[in-house]
Amino acid sequence: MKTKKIGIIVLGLILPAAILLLWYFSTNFTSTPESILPRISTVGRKFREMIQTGQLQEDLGISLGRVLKGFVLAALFGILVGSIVGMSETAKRICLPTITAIRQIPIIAWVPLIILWCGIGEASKVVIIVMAAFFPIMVNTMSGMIETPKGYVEVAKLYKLSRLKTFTKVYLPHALPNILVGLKLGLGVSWMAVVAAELIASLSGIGYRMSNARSLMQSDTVIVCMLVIGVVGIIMDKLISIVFSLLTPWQKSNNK
Amino acid sequence: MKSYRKIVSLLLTGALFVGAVGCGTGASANTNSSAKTDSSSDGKELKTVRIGSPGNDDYPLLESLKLALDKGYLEEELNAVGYTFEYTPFQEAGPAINEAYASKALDVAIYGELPALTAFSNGVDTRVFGIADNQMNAGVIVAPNSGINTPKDLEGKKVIVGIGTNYHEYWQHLIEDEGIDPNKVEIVNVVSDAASVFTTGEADAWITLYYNDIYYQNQGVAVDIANSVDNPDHAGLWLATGRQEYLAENPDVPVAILKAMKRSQEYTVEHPDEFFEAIASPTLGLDVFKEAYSFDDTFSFLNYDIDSKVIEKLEYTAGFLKSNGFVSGDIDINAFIDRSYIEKLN
Amino acid sequence: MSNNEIVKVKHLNKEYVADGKPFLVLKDIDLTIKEGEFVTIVGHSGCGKSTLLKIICGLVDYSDGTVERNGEKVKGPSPNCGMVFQDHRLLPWLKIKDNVGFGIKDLPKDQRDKLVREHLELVGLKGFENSYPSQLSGGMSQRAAIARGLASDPKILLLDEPFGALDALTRIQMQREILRIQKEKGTTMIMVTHDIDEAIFLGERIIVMSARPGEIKDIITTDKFSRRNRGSADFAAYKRKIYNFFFEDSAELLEEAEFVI
Repeated sequence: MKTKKIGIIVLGLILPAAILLLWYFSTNFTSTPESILPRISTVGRKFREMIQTGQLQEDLGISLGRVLKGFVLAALFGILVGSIVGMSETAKRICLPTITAIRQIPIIAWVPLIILWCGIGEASKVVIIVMAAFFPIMVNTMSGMIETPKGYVEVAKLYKLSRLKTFTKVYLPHALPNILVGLKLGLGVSWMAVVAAELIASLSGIGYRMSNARSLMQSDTVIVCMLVIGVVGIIMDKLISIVFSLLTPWQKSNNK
Repeated sequence: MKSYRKIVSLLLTGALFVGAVGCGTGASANTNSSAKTDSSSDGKELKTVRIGSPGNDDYPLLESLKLALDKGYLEEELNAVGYTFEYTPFQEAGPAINEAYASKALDVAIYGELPALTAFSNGVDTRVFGIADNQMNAGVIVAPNSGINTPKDLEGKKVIVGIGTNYHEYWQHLIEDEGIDPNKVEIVNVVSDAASVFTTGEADAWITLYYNDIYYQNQGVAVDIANSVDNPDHAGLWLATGRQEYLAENPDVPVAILKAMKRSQEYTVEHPDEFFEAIASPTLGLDVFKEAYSFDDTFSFLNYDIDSKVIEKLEYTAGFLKSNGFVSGDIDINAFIDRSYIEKLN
Repeated sequence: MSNNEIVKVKHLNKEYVADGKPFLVLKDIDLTIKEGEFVTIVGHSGCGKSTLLKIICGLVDYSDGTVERNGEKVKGPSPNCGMVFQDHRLLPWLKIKDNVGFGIKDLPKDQRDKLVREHLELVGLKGFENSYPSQLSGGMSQRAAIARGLASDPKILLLDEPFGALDALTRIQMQREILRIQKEKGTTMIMVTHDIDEAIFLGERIIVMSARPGEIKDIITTDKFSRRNRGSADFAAYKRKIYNFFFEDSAELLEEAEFVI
């Protein structure tokens, strides 16, 4: 049993190890410009420096706060709208075409309008993250609701469950695995959105740090930020998995 | 019926794949040879120099080189020494140009001294061989009736300053010369969305390029409280730079470009209207540019020479980058300047 | 078996619309079922048998004809009429005890738990209260479904091909189980099946239905002793009679079969 777990971890580390090797070789044995791809040691040094000055923790904290606010709001809206549209054919016909159209528009295009309606403070940054994360959560919730087997709904009808009770006792539990997928996708997108969000009048945050470092050709900083976002992203993803496996005890080995 | 559907879907997938690969190879940078070959109208083999600048298709920021481009001086001078050029505008301006330089995908860039020195200090081997404009003007605008009349009044207000850009450098000049306490000013760090932020009143003041300044004043939505036309020391530069490796291998190219810029300046003095037309952006309109570029009817700001005034500005920029922590260590301006091509002109 | 007419169907017609065209699913159904009876309905799949059950249950509405349960017109589902489906339809996210107790409302917790325990014991699933449906076999799941159907102590239990998804041996086992349960509880049971043997074994009365539209061809009353003996000649006779309705051109085949038996 224990060897199996170790085996799983080892398999997961193969690609990162390969990437590190490739990185090492391309920076030490070819003429890759240091200003675009710095050496691993340079990045390591920068990481230590950013931790020592406290700048990394501060930036990460600020961005994490924005991501969490945006993600939670997107989750609430996404599950709500996804449920309504998934349970009512009429609601689906009314809302879905518009939602699908809006979804294709790149977030960057919305920024001037968002500045107009929400200003340049925290609100507009959170709004951008909500807009990005909302769609995968909504769509997956909706498909989870729609796929609810009609047989279960009939059982609810047989026992004269109210519409609300039918939702909470049949549709929602059935859709939970789908909602989980949506939330994980939404989380990933939230981190991508935070970089776009922090282009609006920011002077702090890991997304801002990354954009600023890019224009100053400080690619070591850029890579440190990328790695930090990646690691934090994995941790948050795992946390969501754990919460969900607690919520769905009937699904033994599906949520890893 | 079934096999028909299979064939169609295979064809579609194949087309998509080929399209994707085709796009990819088309856009990839040519990192090995620094000179491609092309043929001129009389069939001779010409080498291509890749020139870039900030801007987009209908508004490239080239200053004196723009008229040279429009009147064909650039093509003529390059053809005479066996070259032609390929111009690319960069929407993302300085940072993108620097990345192209670092990947050796660009040979010559016409852009601001701030990103140029950033690249140089980060080990990208470039040189400045000429000047496209030695007085790039900026200014500060505020809403009418805002109660802000001098730069000192900006204390306690929100000011749009693009961090790490020429605007930031202009702001530094203002702080030093106008006695503003920077800790009392709230900086709003936007560039692309600055117009929205200013016009909706989210910020009280906007530091921007001078012609933008003029534009919003003409629209009646802004009032100018300071600009570098009145204070030339506060103005920035627009440089003609090139990859050192390329310049060394193709010394005729920078000379040709300088010649084109010289002809452009001479022509402008006689025919200023054509210069304004060449340099104007269609969105802001000809009148704005006429007004913004009429501050000197000798057009001495189009002088291509790297003179002592220019060197002074470059030193200021180097100091600015260092004091703001944007670069580590000092920049040797003399190592960045290469006047040898200018000397070949005389 | 009392004389109370617990289910009364008169002149029932049911029409569905498919592709814009109406078609008749049930034609002129007349049926009376007495309290405590075990009635089986046999016919091809899709001949409206399930629809008939769902109308009696109150899941499907009707406009042409009358359907009464216990003297009252059927308007919707009621705790007095339970149903077991072919796919057990236990909710996967509920433990067995919560599934079985799904239809029991308005009772304090300990009373509900007691009912659940009793019914699980009745169907032979004692000890599986805290298991999830995914942990149970097909036969066990169907037992749990039956427990759920009976937990609210209904007067009528409708079963729509409940053993159709089970293997042949389990099916026979379940047939014996359901008889035992019915004996113990005295519930009126109406079971739809496409298995002729099953229909005979369980049905005090067998309602033979034809397809498209669904009509009652015949109602066969069986003898208790005959139906319990699967190998008996009487059993075979019932079988032949029912066969005749479905395979009308097979008179010759049946004559041959007689020789084989």
